[in-house]
Amino acid sequence: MMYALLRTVDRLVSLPAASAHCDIPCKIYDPSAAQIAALSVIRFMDLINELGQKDSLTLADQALLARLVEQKESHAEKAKHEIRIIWGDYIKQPQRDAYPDIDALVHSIMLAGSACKQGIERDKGEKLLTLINEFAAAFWDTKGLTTFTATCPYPPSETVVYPKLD
Amino acid sequence: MKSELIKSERMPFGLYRVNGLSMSPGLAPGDYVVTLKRWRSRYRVGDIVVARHPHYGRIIKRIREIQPDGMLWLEGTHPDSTSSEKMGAIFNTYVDGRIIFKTTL
Repeated sequence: MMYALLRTVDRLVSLPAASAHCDIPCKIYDPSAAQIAALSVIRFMDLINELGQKDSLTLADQALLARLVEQKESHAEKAKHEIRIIWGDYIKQPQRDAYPDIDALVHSIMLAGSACKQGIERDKGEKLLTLINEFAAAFWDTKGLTTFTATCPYPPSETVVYPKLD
Repeated sequence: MKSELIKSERMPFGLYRVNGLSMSPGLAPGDYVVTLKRWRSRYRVGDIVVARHPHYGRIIKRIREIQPDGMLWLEGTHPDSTSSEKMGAIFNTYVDGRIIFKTTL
């Protein structure tokens, strides 16, 4: 009754709104951004190691090397960032109860990401991807989705965990 | 005209529609609240108030803490609320009033 009256008043004169402001919980979380960043890291490592096969590097090769190294590092950082966002904003007690090791897994992803920045060894990139895949499988499971693994249809042709959306 | 009919700076009462979720479960989006302005020193921790925030605009929050100098720290009642730290302390003169009545659908 009171509500209906106020509602009518609101429609007539448009009452001022007081915002119970939130930190925009957009609920858009998807580990695929981290997976693609990890694939990119491996790809940049491959391209760097290809350059390493050459006897000597031209100025253009050196310029390319500089770009590849810079991109390898920024994508390793991006992978860490994307995982941190999901971990910090999405993972809460229910997910932690379902996956008690999730904090340790996220921490190992942070370490693996840093290792990719420090080195050019492919196995470091592969380890980062493996850990992020593990995180993705856990993430999609907390969403009630099953996952499957497939080889990504582009270089570096590595195994990736995808959600089954049918 | 619009809202000035209902609420002018000189009037002690205010009538507002609630937007957003940060005060749930106590207040839901679409609720209406009536506020009463108090003397600036008369607000208490735990009061739900409507305030004008320099960045977030007109907000409805609960008083978490009152500093000795009168500055207020506000908080939402929902975990997703913008944090007190992000909102910062506000002058008590920016408070339009304390909620004395609410009505829900």
